[in-house]
Order: sequence, then C-alpha cells, then structure tokens
Amino acid sequence: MELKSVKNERKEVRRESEVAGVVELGERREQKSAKILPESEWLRRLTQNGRWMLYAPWLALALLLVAPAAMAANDAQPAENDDAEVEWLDDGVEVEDASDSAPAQASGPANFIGVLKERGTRKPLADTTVYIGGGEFETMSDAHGRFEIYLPPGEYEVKIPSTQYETFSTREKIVSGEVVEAVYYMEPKVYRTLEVVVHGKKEQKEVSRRVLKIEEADLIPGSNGDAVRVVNNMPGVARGGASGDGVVVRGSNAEDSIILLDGHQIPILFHFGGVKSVYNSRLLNEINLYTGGFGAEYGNATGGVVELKTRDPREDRWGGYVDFSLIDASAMAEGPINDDMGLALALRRSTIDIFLPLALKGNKEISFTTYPAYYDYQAKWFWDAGHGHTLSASAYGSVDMMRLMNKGATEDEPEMQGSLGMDVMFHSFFLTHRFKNDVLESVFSPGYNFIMEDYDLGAKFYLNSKAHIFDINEDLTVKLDDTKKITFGMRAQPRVMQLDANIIRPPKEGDVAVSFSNDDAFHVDRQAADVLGALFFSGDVGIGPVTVIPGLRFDYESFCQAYSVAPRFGLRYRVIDALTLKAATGLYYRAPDPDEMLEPFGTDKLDFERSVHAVAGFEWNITDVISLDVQGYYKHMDQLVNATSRNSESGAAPEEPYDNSAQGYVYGGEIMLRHNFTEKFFGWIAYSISRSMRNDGQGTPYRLFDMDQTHNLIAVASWQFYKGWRLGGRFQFSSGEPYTDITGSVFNADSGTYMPIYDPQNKNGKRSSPYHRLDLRLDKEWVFNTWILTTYLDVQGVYYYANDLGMTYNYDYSERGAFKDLPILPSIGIQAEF
Amino acid sequence: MSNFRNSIVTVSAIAIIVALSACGQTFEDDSPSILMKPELISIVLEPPEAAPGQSVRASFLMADERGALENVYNFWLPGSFDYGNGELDIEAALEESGLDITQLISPSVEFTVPEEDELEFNSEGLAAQTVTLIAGLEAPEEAPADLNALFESLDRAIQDGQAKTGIRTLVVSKKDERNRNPEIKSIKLTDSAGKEHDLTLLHNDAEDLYAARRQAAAAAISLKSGEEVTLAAETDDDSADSLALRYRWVSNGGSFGGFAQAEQPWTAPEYIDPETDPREDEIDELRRDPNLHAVWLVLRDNGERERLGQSWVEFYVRVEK
Repeated sequence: MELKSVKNERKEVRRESEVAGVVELGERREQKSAKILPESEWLRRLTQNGRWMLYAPWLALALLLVAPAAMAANDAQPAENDDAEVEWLDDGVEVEDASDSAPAQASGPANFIGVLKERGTRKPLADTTVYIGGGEFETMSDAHGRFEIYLPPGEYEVKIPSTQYETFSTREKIVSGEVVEAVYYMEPKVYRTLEVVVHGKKEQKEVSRRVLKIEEADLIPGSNGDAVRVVNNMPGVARGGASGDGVVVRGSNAEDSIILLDGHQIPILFHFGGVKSVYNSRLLNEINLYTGGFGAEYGNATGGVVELKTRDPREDRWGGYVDFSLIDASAMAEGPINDDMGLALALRRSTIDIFLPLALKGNKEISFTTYPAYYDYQAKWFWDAGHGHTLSASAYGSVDMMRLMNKGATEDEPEMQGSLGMDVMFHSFFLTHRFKNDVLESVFSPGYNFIMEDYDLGAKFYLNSKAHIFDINEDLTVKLDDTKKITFGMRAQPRVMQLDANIIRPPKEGDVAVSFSNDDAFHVDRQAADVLGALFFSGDVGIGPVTVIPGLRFDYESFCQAYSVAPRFGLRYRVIDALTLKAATGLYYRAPDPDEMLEPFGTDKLDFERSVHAVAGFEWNITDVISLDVQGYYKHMDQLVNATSRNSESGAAPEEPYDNSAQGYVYGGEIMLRHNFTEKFFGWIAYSISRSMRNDGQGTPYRLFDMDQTHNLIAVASWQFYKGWRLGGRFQFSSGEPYTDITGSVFNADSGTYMPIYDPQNKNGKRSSPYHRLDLRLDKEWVFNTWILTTYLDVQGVYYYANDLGMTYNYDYSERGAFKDLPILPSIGIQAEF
Repeated sequence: MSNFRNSIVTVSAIAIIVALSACGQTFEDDSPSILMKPELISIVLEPPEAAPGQSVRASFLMADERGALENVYNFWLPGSFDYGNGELDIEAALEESGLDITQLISPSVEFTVPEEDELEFNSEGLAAQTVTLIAGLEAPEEAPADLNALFESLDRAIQDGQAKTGIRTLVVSKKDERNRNPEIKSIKLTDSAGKEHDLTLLHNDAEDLYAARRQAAAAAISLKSGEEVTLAAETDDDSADSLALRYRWVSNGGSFGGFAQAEQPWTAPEYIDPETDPREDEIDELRRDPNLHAVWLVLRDNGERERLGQSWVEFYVRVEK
C-alpha cells in the first residue's frame, strides 16, 4: 500500500467537496490498483491552459462566501444525522498491520479503517466501541482514536454510543476489493472552553489553600478571561486586591504577599499595573491561593501566596487558538515534538493602542507620542526523559510602553507637565528538572530575570532601573510511607539593581496625600546588590485520621543583614470522610522593600517585617460536588516598616526615613460554599468578614488599614443552559474603603498648589459608600469539525451603578467627591481554537 | 525588586491618572486658574535665596472673582512649623522666631535670616526656612488683647473661609552665587484679528503697588465679549529647556486653554450689563466694574532645576459689548 498515494487522493477529493459545498459521505478506492493523481498533476490539469488565473479572484470570493455558509450548515447538522461529515485520514495507515489491533469478527485484511475524534478540538477518542451492523460487528478505538476491522461487502449502520458524547451513527458501504477510510467527529454533550484538567481528590495539605481551576476562571464575568484577576473572587481577598503588583490578602498589604509561577517570583504581574496579567491564562493549569497559615516552603511573605502553576504542552496533537478582543489579541500553538517532547508558544499584543486614538481625537491637552501598548510572550518546552526524570524550560516576558506630552491638564500637579511615559520590560527564564521514584522526589529549578524600567514623569522626575535577579530553588521530598513524607528545601535569590532616578519617596500604606509638587525629590544614581536566601523543612505526617504538618524556615537578607527563624505548624483531623477539622499557626517574615533599604530613599538599618498567623476551621463535603469551607483567623503584625518621614508629628525630619516601629492586627472569618465544575454548572458563594488595623509607630493610635473591607460577599455562577451557550453571573457586595477626612488646606506658594490638612488622630476615620455590582457574561461556541469559534459578551455593571472607588478633591481641598467606577463596561471578544 | 517597582508604578499611576483625570469627578470650583473665591496667588521673597544674616522682604498677592484684594489683614510668621498633619503650632514658631507680633501685621514684612551657626546646612551648603502667611479679608473689629486672642481670631477666620494660609520656602545659601527671582519682561496679546498688542504690566516689585495697579487698569486693553486671544510672555530665562520655568496664568474671568506655558490661549469673559451686577457694596473702583478683568501671570523657576524664585505681573482687560 502506497501511503503517500492515499494521502494525495484524499486531498483531491476534499478540495472538490469544499468548493462545491457538498458534504462527502465517504470514499472508496481500489485496494490495490487505485488510479491516483498526484497533487501536482491535479493542479497541472486545472491550470493547463493558464486561463484559471482569470477566475482566481472570483474563485477566492466564492470560497470566502461559501465556506462559512458551508461550515455553518455543517454545524447545524446533528452528529447522529447520517449526513455527518466523514473525512479521510490525515495519515496513511499500514493496512497490512491494521488487523492486529481491531477485534474483527470476520477474517481478512481490514477494509474499514477509521479515527474517532472530538468535534472541534480534534482530540482522539480512545477506548470507544464502534458498533457495526446493529451490533453484528464491533471494534474499539486505540489510544490514538483509531480502529480497523474487516467487514464482508455490504451496507452497514455504524453506531458509536458514549456517555460523554452524543451517539454517532452513519451508514457505510463496503465494496469488495476496496478500503473505506473515515474520520468520525463526535460531538461532546458538554462543551468547555478549555480542556478540563482533572485534579485528583488528594488530601489537601494546606489549611488555607484554595484552588481555582483555569476552566472556571476563564468563564467568570468581569475578568475578561484573565485567570489571575479571578483571585479577587475568592474569600479573604479584598475587592480590587489583585491589581497593581500584588494581592491584598486578609488585611495585609499587597507587598506582603508573593505571586509565584512554578515556584519563581513573577517580576511584574500585570501590564500597566493592573490591565491584564502578563502570563497567558491558557498556559496555566491551576491557581492556588494561600490566605494564611501556609507551609514553610513559602517565604518572604507575611500575607498570602498566589501560586500559578503552568501546564505541560499537549502531547496528543498540535493545536492552539487565535483570540481578538477590544483589549488585546493573542495566539498560541502547542503540540508534541516527538513522543517525549512537547512545545507551547504564545504571544499577545494589546489592541487598545488601536482604539485609543479614536477616543482621544480632538484632545489638545494630552497628545500621545506612544499610545499605551503591551506585549507578552510565553514558551515552554517539556521533555519526559524517562526513568522518572523530566526536564522543562520556560521563558516568558512582557513589554509595556506609553508616552504622552502633557501640556497642562494638571493644574493641581504642575510638576507633571511635560513628557509622561514608561517603558517597562522583563524577560524571565527558568529550567526545572524533576526526578521522582517511589521514595524520592527532587525538583531543582534555577532561573534568571532581567527587568528594565524607564519612567519619565514630567520635566523634573524620572527613574531608570535595571535589575538582574537569579533564582535557585531545590525541593527534596522523601516519602516515608503512604501517609508520611518530609521535604527539605533551599531558596537563593541573588539580586543586582542599577538605579538612576530623581523622584519623590514612593507612597506607602497609610499615606494621606502624595504630591510630586509638594514632596521632596531625591536623586540617586547607584548600584546595589543583595542575596535573599532560605532553608526550610516541611513535613506531612498522617497518623490515622490526623495529619500533622510541621515546618521550620530560616531566611536571610544580606543588604540589611537581617535573618529570621520561622516555625510553622498545621493540623488536619478527619472526623468522618466528609468532614475535616483544620488549624495552623506560624511565624512569617518579609524583607523590606528595596526602596526602603536603599539610601537616600531609605535606610539599611531595617529588619524583616513579621506576622503571626493563627487559623482554624473545617471543610465539609456536603455532596460529591458541593462543599463548605469555614475559617476563622487572627494575625498579629509587628516590626512593620514605618515611614517616619511622613508620619512625623512634629514635622521635623527624622533621623532615618523608615524604621520598624509600626504594628497591626487583623481578625476575621470566611465562609465558602462551592459547587464544583460539573458538566453544566459551577459556582460559589464566598463571604468574608474582617477588621484590619495599623498604627504608624509607637505611641500612635490604631487606625483602619487602607484597604480594610469589613464585609465582602461574592456570588459566582456559570451555567451551560443550552448546547454551546453558557451564561455566567457574578455579584459582589462589600464595604467601602476607609479614607481620611481632609479638614482644610494650606497654599504652597513654592509650587502654586495646595496641601491638605487632616487630623492625624483620625486617619482613615471615614468610609466611602458600600460597593455592589452585578456582572454577566454570555458565551457562545460554534463547533466545527476541526476548530471552535467562541464569542463572548461580558458586561460589568449590568444595572448601571457607578460605585465609589475612593475620595477625590478639587485643587484646594474645599470640595470633595467620590471617584467613581464606570457604571457599565461591556466588552466583546472572539476566539478561534484549533 | 518588584515591590519597589510596585511603588514606582503607583507613583506613575497617580501621575498619569492625574494627567488624565479631566474625565473624572467635576467640581463647582475645579480650576485654580479662574478665581471664584478669595485665593492666595503668590508669595514673593526678595531675594528668594538669601545668605545667613541677610534681610529678606516677603510680599503676597491675593485676589477673588472681582479682582485683586488690597485691604487684606495679614499675619506673617517666619520659621518652621508643622503644616501637613496637624494644627499650626504658631505659638512655638513665633517663640522660635523671637519677633514681636505687632511687627508682623503688615502688607509685607522684612525679616532677617538666622546666622549660619543657627541653621543646619546640607552638603550643598543649603538650608530651608519656611515663611508662613495668614491673610484675612477683614481685620478683627478690635485689636486682639493678647496672643491667645489673636490666635482665636485667626482660627475663626480660617474656619469661616475668611482667611487663607500660605507657606513659602526661603532657601538659605552659603554659596556666593545665589538665585534671584525670574523676570517677566513683557506680555503680548494677539487678538482675534491677528493683531499684536503690547500690554501694560504691573510688576510685583513696583514701588507703589496701589498707584501702579491703577495705571495698569487705566491702560486696560479692550476686547470683544467672548473674544479668543493668545497671550505670549517673554522672560529673562536663559535656559534652553522650555520647562525650566513654570507659568501659571490666573484671571477672574474668561477661560484659559489649559497650556501651562509661556503662550496661552484665553477667551475673554462675556460682557455684563453693569445694571445686572451693580456691586454697590464695593468701594474700590477697579473691583466695582464687572467688565474690567485682571489677568495674572505667576512665574516660577522651580522647573527642572528645582529653584524657588518667583515673580508675578498683572494686566487688565476691558470687555466691551
């Protein structure tokens, strides 16, 4: 059998079918003497007199018009219809070998060869029984979805029932001496935008870990498919907490929590401080959120941990998607290189720079020289080296750029006159070697990050920095038995930073007013280097229904020569199969921010910030898919970095701009009732209540934390109400954020601006109006045999209510008003997945 | 490093949001350029950068929607005080300055910079002294009996919006070459027909401010109601950087084009029939005429070079039917 010939013939017939808009039911060929036209010959005959060139534009137009109609018509055909499309095999098949795997009930070489694939995704369907002739014959598909069988000549009904797919049936005619080859596309009963990654129901080790599946994240309204932003919908995370470069977890600063990607800290989490996360959600496997009491493997964080885990590239076939929305456009391709290796590549580019010029047409005060644009890329190579060894290499990066000429729209910030711009980029690369056998698991992962930032802030202020950050992680886990394992780990992060800047001291939590026109500017041109290092031990010891999770961590920071020893302890007690009690406590440390350590902004006399976590709660699996998680916590914080220069009561310049004199505490409770992702529905209701307090150094009164939100209620649901149609909703109600009452102002004649006067005894003494919003999202999928077209309409703020986002004042603070959210924000997107 | 970046991003975001916030919340009085109530516009120190022990003269400009305010009760306070996050500790500052309060209630004040050994200089040989001004619209009916009575009176006036507080930094320098106030040489007005006019300016350092203001008003340029003109200032700036100087245009009518630069579009106010706005309560002739408008340009040299020189000029426009 000439495999190449079979392939060529298939192509020829397919092309004719598409042009004519006819669905080909099947094809036969002489088993041994098929007259096969090579593709080149086909083209030669078609073009032999050269006149076809005259018709080419019309042919192309006809194709453009007819093809979508044909596809739509095809889409409308139910799979069980006898007219279901049959395509010839992509690959040639060794007919002589085919009979080995198929359980033919009649003797002879296989003359009916097929492949079962999922409609739209082309995923091969393995272990699926094909019934022929009303059950007279049957065969089963192999791991590649292929089946082969010998059938006596005749006409047969082919039927493929399945629990997950609509029953497929068609008719095939077997003619003596011919082979019938076919591809059957099975239509899933439930479409999902992403492939579901099934997470094993393994015992949760962490007490406050919450897992967010990517397929859920992609469908939640209000996040535009950005999985990282969906963290905002989890209990314990403040509204608007996942923006900037961190996540506000359980009343801690965003800087107090770390964001990891496969164990490495992400240099920059969001484009433009919150527009979209820099890592393509489609390449993630899951997101773990640890809101407190987390294990010793996580350090340099006193708040929480957000851990993004990437997935390996597909092994079964090449595929990908192309996506376009009003915010950005992206594309991804992934697939196997060979049996052991896979590769995934993704690229994204903003589209806002295309639409913004239209929106700003006629504005004379602001003229963009570079419209806001961002790019990011991701690549992952994976190799299963065998014998328990795997190796992967990941690279990702991001570029944000924007530049505008501000000619005077900032009368209350005259120093912002002139060029305002930013060019920010980073490139990250890390390798991960994993070895696993029955006893040992080792994960070694070195990485490197390069970050370059260039800010122009008016004529006077600028910041240029370059940072080289190296990462070396090693985790060694020893499995003592099925219920006991211990992990030893090491982290090392040498950092080198070059900074040339003329800028005011960066704003900190608790600052009431930061002004370029009124605050002192600092000039710095220097290089600094430090090393963050850590060693840790973590256990996971099961004794009957009790699991004990001890941990100990040692951290060191070389610039301030600060070190810490942090014991941690977790406990889980399985009362019955469905009910687990849990508790955790521990010490947590975090190095001061680099600007706090670096003179002249800061001081190298700082120590680590510290917090003590105490968490207790229970998990109750009410049914297989419905669960309840209840937690209460208390967190004490001390050694917090205090901006003495801004909090000085006397007004006199302090000896050091920062010290470790501030303290705080947080307490609260969280309830999460969750319906897991099932065929048609998922959702949860999460309620958090908390109180987060801070002081500004010894002897100062406690005040509310800037982002304290007493109540935060979130309800999320997504329901596939009809084949290909899915409706999602999200409702949030939360307390307004605190703000400081401004009682007057002083005219600063140096700059021609006003400075606010407030009562330092009453910082954050008022609260803005409660926040509430309903978002809806409608997804529609059109599934063709080999690709899927998805569109969505996402409306944030369905009932047109503009929430208060904070307080804003006129130029002399004599009038106050709420800074409002947009009352409604609709967005649309389209995506082709192949 | 990402946390540092986070802070910087926040700073940048604030800056960019401020720049783009024209589309945000709107207020009744949302522009310092068009006066709608009494405002301090400038505090001038002569010289702006003084040697230790040198004498410095401080003066101010205050105006409201009717024009310049000349009969302003004012209280000067040289020295440092805490202004940002608490009450003014005037008593302590006054004690520190060692001045008699009776000398401080005057339109301008001359004071002597402390000697070198009383100040803390940075590595560049510079020290900062803050000068405070509380300017009220009306003097107390009776002279304050003592310091406490004066403070109570000032506090009431500030709370009632009848007094404004301003601060100014005096740079004390050990350098031989010290900064001076920038000078506005001229302002040209190009009318809607394209014709250029030289304007008669009142300078902040005029010997007799009262008389000079009336001369400038008498030389007011006439414009049509709502006429769009362009103002262009010429200064003694020798910097190649166009942003080394800060231009702040202020008026009690009309509207500016929003460009805080030497060249500034301005739309003259609409003509007002004097019978509809008789202003009978006004004694001052300049402030009684609803169609006589003052325009000020305040020039600062604290652009790129962060210096603190400052000066202002004033001119008049008469709007005709």
